Order: sequence, then structure tokens, then C-alpha cells
Amino acid sequence: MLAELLVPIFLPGIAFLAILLVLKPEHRGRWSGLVGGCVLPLATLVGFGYEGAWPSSFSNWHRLPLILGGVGLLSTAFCCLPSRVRRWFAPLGLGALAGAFGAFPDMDSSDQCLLGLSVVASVKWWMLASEATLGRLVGLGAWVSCVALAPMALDGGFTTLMILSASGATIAGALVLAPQALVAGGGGAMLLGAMVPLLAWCGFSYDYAEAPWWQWAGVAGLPVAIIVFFDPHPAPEGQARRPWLSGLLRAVLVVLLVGWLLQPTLDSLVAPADDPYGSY
Amino acid sequence: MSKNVLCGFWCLLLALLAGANFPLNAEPPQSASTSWQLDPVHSFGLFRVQHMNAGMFWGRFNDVTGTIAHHEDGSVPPKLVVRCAVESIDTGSEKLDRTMLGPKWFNGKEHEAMTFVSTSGEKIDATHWKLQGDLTIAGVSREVEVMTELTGIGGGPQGRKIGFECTVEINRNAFGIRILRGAIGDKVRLVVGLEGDEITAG
Repeated sequence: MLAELLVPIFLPGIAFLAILLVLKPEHRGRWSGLVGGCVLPLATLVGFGYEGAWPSSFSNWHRLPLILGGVGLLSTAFCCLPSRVRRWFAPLGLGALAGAFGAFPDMDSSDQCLLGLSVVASVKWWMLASEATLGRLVGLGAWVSCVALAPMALDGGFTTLMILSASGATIAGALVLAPQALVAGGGGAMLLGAMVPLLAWCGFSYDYAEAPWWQWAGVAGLPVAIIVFFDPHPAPEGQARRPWLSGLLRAVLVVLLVGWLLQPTLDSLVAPADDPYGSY
Repeated sequence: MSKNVLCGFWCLLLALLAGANFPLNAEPPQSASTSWQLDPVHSFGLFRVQHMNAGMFWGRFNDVTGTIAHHEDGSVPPKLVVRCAVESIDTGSEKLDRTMLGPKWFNGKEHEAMTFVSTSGEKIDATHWKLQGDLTIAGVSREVEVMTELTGIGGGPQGRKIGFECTVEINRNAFGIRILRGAIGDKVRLVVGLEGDEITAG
């Protein structure tokens, strides 16, 4: 039973890291989106493998790994474009893909438009962030978001999304670990930019814990906070680095923000499972 | 002359048969079917599945609706149309309820109800039938055989009531619910208690 959970979580990240390390460093930025986009569907397939059969019927959440695979393909195509064109084409293209195919339960066409717009904004922001800050910080931001989304999905009754979010965290971790995998405006940044809001929207649509929308949006937006709190610009040459206390304070602020956002979920998860009258 | 007599005889015989409504292809006379509306308060669905190869875990669906058509002389198998609202699941633990409503289990967001519609049946004795029908769980339909017992026809001042108890054992894998196969048993027993109020004209 443990393998059924752990293998789909860690296999994509390990496979992703192994492929990135095999690639030449100068090629990693271009191919990281495609490889990352393909290993998440791999996590889903591994999950089906443990079940011993294909799903009997198509469920709307199956769109999530398919869209992420599409994001991987498109991100690689966008990497071939000149950077000026890519800056707008990539967010718009990935947003259109997510909005067109991201039809999760209880979502009407206006919700799908909102999903598309959130992906446009997220991809645009992540591309800017990857240009303006250290690439590894961007990956760290995505890692925190995915790790925070996993318990929310679990509390909402969506075990598979918990696994996919955790897989997403291992992919973000692999992007942090592999040198030059997260280049400015590269495929990795596009993938993370599309993956985080898609995971959050999917989780929100299936959520039976009834976590409010702002909690899902807040967790998906955590990377923004992380990059705002952490000033990654290296100190100019010859000047002293920022005092460590400032860095520590920023880290504490991020931890507090994550704790505040996740508090209702963690309270619910640690509540005794077999006490139906606990709330009375 | 003889032709006319013969013709007259046949005409008379046909007229007599028609007038007497004589059953030429003799089938036993059937009572009329009565229709019953399921009372959601007194109807329920139970499921039983083995947990961790150890204990048998029971859960309940509280919202069961539908109709019953029944010939009270028992000459025809009862016709059951039963709908079980998935979100009415009650395992005794809210957390477990949410998990069971998730996409890998009953997928409550996409498939609001489980349904059973009987299509035919075989009489076992005066109060028992083996009903065949289509059971739909999480969007997957399979033909199943349901042991059905007429538990009684009674009632009170508010009208007549009928009771049935249905039992069926299914393999959850056949309905696409394959998660945690090592920890949760494949075989699931469903026991559905039905109580219906007679639908009277007007």
C-alpha cells in the first residue's frame, strides 16, 4: 500500500532529475518543460498500473495530466521562438490550452475562462520571476506550493491529487537540483507556471472539505510571496551581503504565511478520524 | 344451403367467444400492478467491505429514493427503480466520507447517484425473487443479480406501505473502483432496505 503512494510520488521526480542530468547543461532549459510535462502523466500511469487496469470511464480529473503533457510539448515549441515573441505567446498559448481543456466538475465556461486567465498570469509572472531572480528560488517557490497543495487535496478526499501535487513538488525539486534547468523564461518556468494553478483549480473543483477559494488561490500564489519576501539579487560586488537576520525574518514570515493558509486543513487532518461526534 | 348453415355456425361461435371474452391462449389472470414511492426516511443502503484483510467495515447511504411496481399476488417479479445519492454516504467519520466521495471512489462530484433498475426476475418462493437489473456505480453500469425479499405489506392511517430488502455482492473492480486493492477487499456486499408508500390515484 505504501508503494502505491510513494512510487508515483517519487518516480517522476527521480526520472526527471536523471534525464536532466543526462542532458547537456545548455540544453536543460529548453527541454525541462517537455520532460517535466511528460513525467506527471507518467505518475498517473504508474497509479493506474497499481490498480491493474485502465479506468473504466473517463473522469474530468484525467484532463489534468493530459493538459500538463500538452503544456510540456507547447513549452518546448515556445522555447524555439525568439524571446520577445515568447514572452507573450507562451503565457497566452498555455492559458488558452488550460482554459479550453480544463473542464473540472462544477465549472462553467466563465470558470474555464478564469482558469485560462489565471494560467496566463501565472506563466507570465513565473517567466518574469525566472528572469529577475535566481532560477532556483523560482523552483523552491513551486516546491512550497505543491507541498502545501498536497495536504489540502488529501483533506478534500482527492488522494490522487495529493499524489500528483507531491509529484509536482519532486519535479520542482529536480529543477532546483539540476544546474541550469531553470533558465530565464525557459520551459521549466512555463511548466511550473501552468502546473501550480492547474493543480489548485482541480483540487478546488473536487474539494469535499469545502476549503474557501482564497485558501486554494493563496497556496497557489505562495511563490509570489516567497519571491517578494526573499530578495535574491546578489549583493553588488565589494558590498557586504544583507544581514542574516533580515533573511531569517523573511523566512519566518513565509513559514507563518504557509502556516496560516494551511491551518484549517491541518486542524482537519489531525482531528480524530473515528470520532463522528467530535464537532459537537 | 349447407354452406350458409356452416357460415352461420362459425359466426355464432365467434360472437359467443367474443361476448364471453373467453381466453383462447389461456394465461392465468393477473392482478394489477400497484406503484409505490420510496420513503427516503425509512429506506437506506448499506455496504460492507473487508478492511486490511481483517474486519468487515459497514457504511451507509442515507438518501435512497425511487419507485416500486409490484403485483401483489406475486405473479410478476417486482420492478425496482432505486437511486442512492452518493453524497449521503455516512461511514461514521466525516474524513472517511470525504475520501469515499473522491474521484477514485464514488466520484460524487461527477456521478451524483448510484442506481439500480431491475429488468427481469425469477421467482423463488412467495416472498423471494432473484432480480436481474442494471447497477450503475461511479458512471459504470453492470448487470447484476439481486436477491430480493418482500418483507411485508402493511401500513397505517396514512396509507399502505410495502417493504423490500435487497442483497447483492459485487466486485468493486468491475465498477472501476480499484484503489487500494491490497488494503480494501474487492468484494462488496450491498444491502438495501426499501419502504414504499402506495401511490393512489388523485
